[in-house]
Amino acid sequence: MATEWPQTRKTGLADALRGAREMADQHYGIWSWIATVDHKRIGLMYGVTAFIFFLTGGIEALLLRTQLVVPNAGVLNADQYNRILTMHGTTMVFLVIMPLSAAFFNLMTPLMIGARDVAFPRLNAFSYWVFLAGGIFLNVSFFTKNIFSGELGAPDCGWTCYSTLSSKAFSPGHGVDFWALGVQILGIASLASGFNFIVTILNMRAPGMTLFRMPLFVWMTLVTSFLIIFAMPVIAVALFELIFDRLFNANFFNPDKGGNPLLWQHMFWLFGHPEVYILILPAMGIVSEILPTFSRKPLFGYPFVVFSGIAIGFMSWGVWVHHMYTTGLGTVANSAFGISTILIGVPTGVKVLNWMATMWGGSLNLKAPMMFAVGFVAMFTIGGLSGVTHSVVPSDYQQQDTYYVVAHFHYVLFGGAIFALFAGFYYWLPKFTGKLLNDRLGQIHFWLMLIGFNLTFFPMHVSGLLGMPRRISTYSEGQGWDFWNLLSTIGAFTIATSILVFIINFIYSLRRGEAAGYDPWDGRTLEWTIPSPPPHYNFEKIPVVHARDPFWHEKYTEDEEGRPIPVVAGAANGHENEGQEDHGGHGIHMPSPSYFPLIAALGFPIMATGLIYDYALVAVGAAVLFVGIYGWALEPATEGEEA
Amino acid sequence: MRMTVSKLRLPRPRSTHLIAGLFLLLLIALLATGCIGETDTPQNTLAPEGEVARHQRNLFMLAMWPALVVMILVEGAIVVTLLRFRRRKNDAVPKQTHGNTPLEIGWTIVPTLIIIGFVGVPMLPVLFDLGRDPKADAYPIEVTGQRFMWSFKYPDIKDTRTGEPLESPPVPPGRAAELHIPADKEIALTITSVDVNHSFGVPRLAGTQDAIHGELHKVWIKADHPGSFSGQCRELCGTGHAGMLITVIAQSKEDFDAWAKEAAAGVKQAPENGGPEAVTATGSGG
Amino acid sequence: MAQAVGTAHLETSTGLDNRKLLMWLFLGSECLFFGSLIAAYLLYRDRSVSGPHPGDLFDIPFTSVSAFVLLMSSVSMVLALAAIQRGNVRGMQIWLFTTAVLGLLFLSGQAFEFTEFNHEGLSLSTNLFGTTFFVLTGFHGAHVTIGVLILLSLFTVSLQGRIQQKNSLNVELAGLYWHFVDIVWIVIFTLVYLIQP
Ligand code: HEA
Ligand code: HEA
Ligand code: CUA
Ligand SMILES: [Cu+2]
Repeated sequence: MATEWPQTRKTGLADALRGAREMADQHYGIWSWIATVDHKRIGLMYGVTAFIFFLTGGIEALLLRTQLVVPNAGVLNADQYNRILTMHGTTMVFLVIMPLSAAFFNLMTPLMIGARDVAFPRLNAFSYWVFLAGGIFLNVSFFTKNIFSGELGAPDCGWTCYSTLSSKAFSPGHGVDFWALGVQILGIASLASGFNFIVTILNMRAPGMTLFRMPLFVWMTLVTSFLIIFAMPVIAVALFELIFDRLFNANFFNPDKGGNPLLWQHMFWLFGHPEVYILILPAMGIVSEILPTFSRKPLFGYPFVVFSGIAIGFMSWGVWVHHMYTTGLGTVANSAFGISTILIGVPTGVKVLNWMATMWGGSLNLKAPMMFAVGFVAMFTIGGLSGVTHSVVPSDYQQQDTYYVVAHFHYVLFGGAIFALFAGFYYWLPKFTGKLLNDRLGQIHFWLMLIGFNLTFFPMHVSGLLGMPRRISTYSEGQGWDFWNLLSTIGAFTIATSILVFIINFIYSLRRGEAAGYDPWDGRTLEWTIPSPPPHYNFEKIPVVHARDPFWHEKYTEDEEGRPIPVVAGAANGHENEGQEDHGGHGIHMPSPSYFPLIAALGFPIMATGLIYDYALVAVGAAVLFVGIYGWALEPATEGEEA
Repeated sequence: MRMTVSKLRLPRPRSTHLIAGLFLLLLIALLATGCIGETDTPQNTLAPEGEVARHQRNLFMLAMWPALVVMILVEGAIVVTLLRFRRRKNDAVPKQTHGNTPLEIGWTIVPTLIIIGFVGVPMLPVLFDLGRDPKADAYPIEVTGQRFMWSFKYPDIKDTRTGEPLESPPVPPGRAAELHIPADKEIALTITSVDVNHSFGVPRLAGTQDAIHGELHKVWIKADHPGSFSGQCRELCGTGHAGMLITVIAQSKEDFDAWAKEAAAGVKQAPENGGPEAVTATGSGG
Repeated sequence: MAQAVGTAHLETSTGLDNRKLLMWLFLGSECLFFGSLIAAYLLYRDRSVSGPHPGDLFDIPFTSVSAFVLLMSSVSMVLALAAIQRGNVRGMQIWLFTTAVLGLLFLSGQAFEFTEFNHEGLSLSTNLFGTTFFVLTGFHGAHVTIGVLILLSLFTVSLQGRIQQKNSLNVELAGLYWHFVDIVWIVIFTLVYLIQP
């Protein structure tokens, strides 16, 4: 413990580790976070880290928008613009939305299925540390050139990093190396969490929690995890090929040796399209939890929503060529993929309609989480519909690589994923901080963000249709784009203001917020049956589940006409903690904290740095990885097994 | 350790007005979108002056209008739902409807049919027409993308000085390379690149087509009438990407022949003949 | 090794062991990994603009032998698992070790083949064939190497008596991985070596 710490430090590394270990075991202090394997803490770390990356990516976006505010602006030169653009896209996709979704997988999945933790807690910690390592590694690339003289070392090939622009000849320097290796590392993190959550969801459900009683968010986590474990290997191979080309003169994408640059695009999009559903399905899951709770009605057509989620998962593998219509693959390929792309809108449409039917006839409590969830439905639909207009092959020849595409994907990514993730924050963070976020500030945040968002991205439809190409660092007057770009830039700063409101709200609520209690929203699922914040073992007794929306059925029963009535008068928050008194959790064996996931994770960035700068480091990194894995394999896993 | 939820006593903003206002804004935005076709900007994708672009515009409209209708219906329904079913004081807990299978099957199948019928099927003939090989008598031109300029080669015009096919002169980044074509005649473009990917896009004539090292892409375009049309590179190709500009100058048969003769003889083109004043976007930056 | 938490006494919902499920998922993911590599090889077959070509280099009898060695190692892996499931620690040790040795033999065959090809002028950067061939078979070799390491670790641990009938799952998991790596080789051997256009 704390008093032993200074003393143990003198006696060598092993003892020092033991001292830190004790802190970790006692669940306090920095070491307890570093060694934690608790899914709630890992989830919070995922969330905070990803949010910081969101601010980074957002500031990058603001720089882009500043450069584009007027024609021929001189804020960024073309080189800086390309690098910041690449980092903006990469950051937002791989370091913001995916890990924020992972944060919610971590925080919510075990609670919602009535489990004490995930199936492999240390693998979970490993996944977080690898993500952190990859994120830092990617961003370090900025500083590999003299940043003070305005030179950025970051990758400059766009987040899609098409070959042959990505080759050593056309992207000299180390930017693209950092990009390929960084994304590769992040892929390992995603894979680890993908495996973990599939096993957790399939195997760790509380008694009675059948697959078709699972909350929708858990379903979407499951589908997303499957997409992850099948899509990530594809991009991993593509990245390896790029790395081999750049570092060891292989010829995968070298046309002079017969290589085909289009191979990259095929592999990238074979991964990339499932990837966009990896980004949106968790968001859909979040919204499918919030809408019923705040409408006081069950999700309309639960089986349809589940099956359309699964259908999206399958169909997402058959549409990738819609990103490559203009690469000359021929009319037959284009028409087949055009039709499949048109069809993929259907299952999504089913979801949208089911969400609306959920709200219809409900008693809508328009608190901040609900506002963001409704905002999601409203904005995502616009993005989805512009997606459908993209799927029409010949007309997409016109829109390809214009701002119309940029509008489409920000409507689905920001209007979709980000809105839903904020909805999730307002809804679920109180469970973990114990404090409700302020609703007034939440409403201000919502309206500012909604207005800012539409002001930023709706005009992009127009500038895109007026022919403005994406990824241009500047443009001339007289194209009719000036006004629309001005609007977009104003909008971007409005969004930034709204994010500031959120940050203020978060800090303010942590200190002064109202206590959340067990069940602030009259929730329907298991997480609301336990205290906020939950004890580290989650459930004193593993719950037994008798129905979908189990907690709701504990609180409400039906009268003769089938109208729901509270079990006890005013019992919306009376009954829940039965059997959940806090006895301190004696006798529950929880996994012990461990440093080995962190050590193993450290191996990857060291190896990657070594590949770029000095092969000797590769050996060091491999050794670190080895030590981590061996220690991991040999140490006992649960507290009970120790001693 | 029981806790009770304290009621949140926070005044709600008047979301009703805001929602209504927002809806209005959206409608205005829509109208703006609807009018894009009318504006005469150089790269307007909805103001075609060539056959290919016209097909593409028509198809876009075919998809956009239904999409707009769906959008207005969905957004409108959301607003109505929010207004009608907002929680009021002492609201009873609503009936717990779990779904309605026939209804749901309906709204799976009907949109499928509609979208395939309205968009999918009409798309195919156009797709195959635009994707066909250029006709045998089409006027051939070879287009090459290169960091950071476009160059054009006219196999049918022999440079009288060298005897080789005529090639367009190099242009510095930020200046438009000029492509001369006869108007009202099908042109067969063979598009390629010598380095990274570029994309040849001149919206008022046709959508974009990628230029890829090692591949030859054949497409056809046709300008309705003489005029000059701007375009630029559409695929990120490096620091000069924004300045890789194109001006297509379509001329009547006689003018084109006259130009070809002069160009073949190496007569220097006066800048004024270069279509619209050169666009000044500089790609190279600072 | 990784252990399900707090559920040591609980059944899993599906009845499948957590780690076994994890291994199956991992192998499913690996299928896509090797699938992509093999697809790249096949797509680029015949597209090399210069030699040497597969026909100039492949020594089918030699590679058949090393493929056979790897195949046999699957048999010894099965025997190792069968032994420990019967509680025969000694037998398991012998067969584990055999499997590892056979794996090493295969790897030396591959190392020999690689050097041989190198001598005849094929490197990663020579042509498309070199690129796709070395990357595909190299990644397979890396998988075999990891497999051998796992087997040897299991072997060492078992010498300390820490592998018994009740935790034979450890051997079973290693076996699943090992068989997968074998099967992948059969696919590669067939597609790359045997079916040449
Ligand atoms: C979260 C991410 C996400 C999501 C969910 C989607 C969803 C869809 N996307 Fe999008 N897309 C991206 C992210 C996403 N996309 C990104 C990042 C790019 C650009 C990548 C790059 O180049 O950098 C892109 C690019 C992109 C293109 C390539 C454009 C180009 O480069 O030329 C296309 C083309 O078809 C496309 C189509 C679609 C379609 C049809 C859907 C469908 O799934 C949408 C389905 C939803 C609806 C249809 C709305 C709701 C439905 C109803 C209300 C019911 C009634 C409607 C009907 C029956 C039609 N997308
Ligand atoms: C999830 C994905 C996501 C999100 C959320 C965003 C968010 C934003 N994006 Fe992004 N964008 C992409 C994914 C995303 N983008 C992708 C994939 C590309 C393609 C890249 C490529 O072509 O390769 C792209 C490209 C792209 C372009 C096209 C550039 C080009 O083609 O040349 C533009 C242009 O305006 C843009 C703008 C914005 C803006 C203004 C936001 C804003 O909404 C951002 C809002 C957030 C903030 C403003 C943060 C708040 C910051 C503060 C409050 C600062 C204060 C705080 C502190 C200092 C502590 N984006
Ligand atoms: Cu050439 Cu962009
Ligand atoms: Cu896609």
